[in-house]
Amino acid sequence: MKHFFFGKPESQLFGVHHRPRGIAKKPTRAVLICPPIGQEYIRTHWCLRLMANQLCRNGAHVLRMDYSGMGDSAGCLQDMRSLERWTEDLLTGIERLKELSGAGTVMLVGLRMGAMLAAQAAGRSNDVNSLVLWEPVEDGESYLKELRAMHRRMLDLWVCKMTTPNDDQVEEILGSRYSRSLIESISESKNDFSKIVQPQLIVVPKQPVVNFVHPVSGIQKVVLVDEEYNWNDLRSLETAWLRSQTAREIVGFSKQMFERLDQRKALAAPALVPDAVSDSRSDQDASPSVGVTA
Amino acid sequence: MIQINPQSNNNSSIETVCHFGPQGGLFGILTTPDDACAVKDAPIALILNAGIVHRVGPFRLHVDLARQLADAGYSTLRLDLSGLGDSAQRTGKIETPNRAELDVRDAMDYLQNETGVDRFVIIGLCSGAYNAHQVSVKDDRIVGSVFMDGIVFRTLGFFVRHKIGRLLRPRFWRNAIKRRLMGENAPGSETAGESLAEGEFFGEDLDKDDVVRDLESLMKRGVRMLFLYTDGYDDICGRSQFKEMYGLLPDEGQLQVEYYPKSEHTFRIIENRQAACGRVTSWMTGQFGS
Repeated sequence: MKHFFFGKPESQLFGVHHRPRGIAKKPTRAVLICPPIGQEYIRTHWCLRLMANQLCRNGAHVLRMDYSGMGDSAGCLQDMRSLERWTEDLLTGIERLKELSGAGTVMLVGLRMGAMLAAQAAGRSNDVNSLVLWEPVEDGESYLKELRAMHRRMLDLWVCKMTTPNDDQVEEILGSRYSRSLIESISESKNDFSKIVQPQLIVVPKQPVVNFVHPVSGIQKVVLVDEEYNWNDLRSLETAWLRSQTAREIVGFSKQMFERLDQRKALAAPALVPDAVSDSRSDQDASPSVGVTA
Repeated sequence: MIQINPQSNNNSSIETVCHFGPQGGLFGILTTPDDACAVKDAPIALILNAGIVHRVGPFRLHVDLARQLADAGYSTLRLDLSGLGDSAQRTGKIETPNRAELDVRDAMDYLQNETGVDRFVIIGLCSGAYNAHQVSVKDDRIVGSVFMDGIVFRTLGFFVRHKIGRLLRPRFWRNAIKRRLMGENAPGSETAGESLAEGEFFGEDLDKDDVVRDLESLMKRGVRMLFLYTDGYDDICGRSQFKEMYGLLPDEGQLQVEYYPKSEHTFRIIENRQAACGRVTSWMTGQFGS
């Protein structure tokens, strides 16, 4: 692992590069991990590190990074004004990963709000070959509603009567203070994965609330996993989120996606490969958690 | 080394990636103040992991603290102990049951080599405070220690104030009923997070007399100490418990003790977090000012 800062000198981002050992696969495979935000970022750090190790052992260059105002990156969360800033961070991360690895295009693996940001970055970059959207946040308003409910519950059970800032400037939610404009930006955000042109793997717990559909046949694959989890349980607010089985499945699927993309020469240069996901379907029929809607 | 200038700081501090320990497998981030505001001959602070949270700390506490200390003129290394965060595990035979002692020693050796500074302040929350205690006792280079919700022992006063006192508080019963209705823990029981903090990360063979001896030896060595406790830490209730536990009387000098009755163990509320960071910073300024 190599740790470093990158990006603009006045607002640098923190990153960790996992470089595969031995002879690199050609063409180069590269994965950018897009973490969640807020407390979910801290809780999922270890799980994403382990998954990065596994992806790396499978021959991929992996970059983990912290968004501006989070983790070890510069700035504080309260200074962030919109989701756009974090999408820009991911685009910077894509460029850095290409430089580090020599890859022409990269795969994005996004978890929770990281999946929403990954989808937005994919819509603005020609260098994203595919996406893995892990328990994605699809609707910012609903996401905020859930966080606020948990925050209110936390305050309600506090040892004494307690309030936190919530005015036209800032709002404190679960240990993070967001600017009002960022809150509005999150609230307005909505992802329509059917508009993403790159091959996409959506990983959700069984019985997802939303039925995913994509107009292009074979471009979207939905995997239903056994490891169900309630993100809004206050008792789990500070426990590490570990999903080893799902992480292993994602690593396996990503390997197959890379192989399909490689067959269609889509790794070295940007390209749309509609059947990159669906072609690998037959290999996965034995998996207990496969579901395809395309 | 690549450096960073965090925008959030009033003064321009610099953050640097550091690798140290066996094969450079241990990792931390050094935050140094701008030359113009750096306190001359100041010790460097080291912040240890709290539980298994990586170096940024619970709710980013360690980053906030490091940058605030830099604004006040002090350098800080927030590090990942071996096997945590982004640090590698130690392999081979380990000469001590607590690997944190080796990790911190390696960190201090590295900083001494790189900067020439040979005095350090160690800061830890929960298991980080436990490790800070173990390390402080064994290394003379440590001249100051901040223990946040560290080692405690229940006393008679604790039972009176906490166990009986809270029974008289209407809010205790209100919360207990609400928790029960929500299907959470029974009244008076610890939450999952709190029980983890103590059972998983602290040595189980701690003897109060040994801890007292340790503290007395630190006092004799002239180590400056700050103990911060929160109401959310289930085994302490009130500042007066410190004297009940250790027979030592806190003062405004070498041995300072603070108790936050409205704060949760990991400073979830930003107001509480700011109070704790401010207290540590003012303590540093008071103890190690220019």
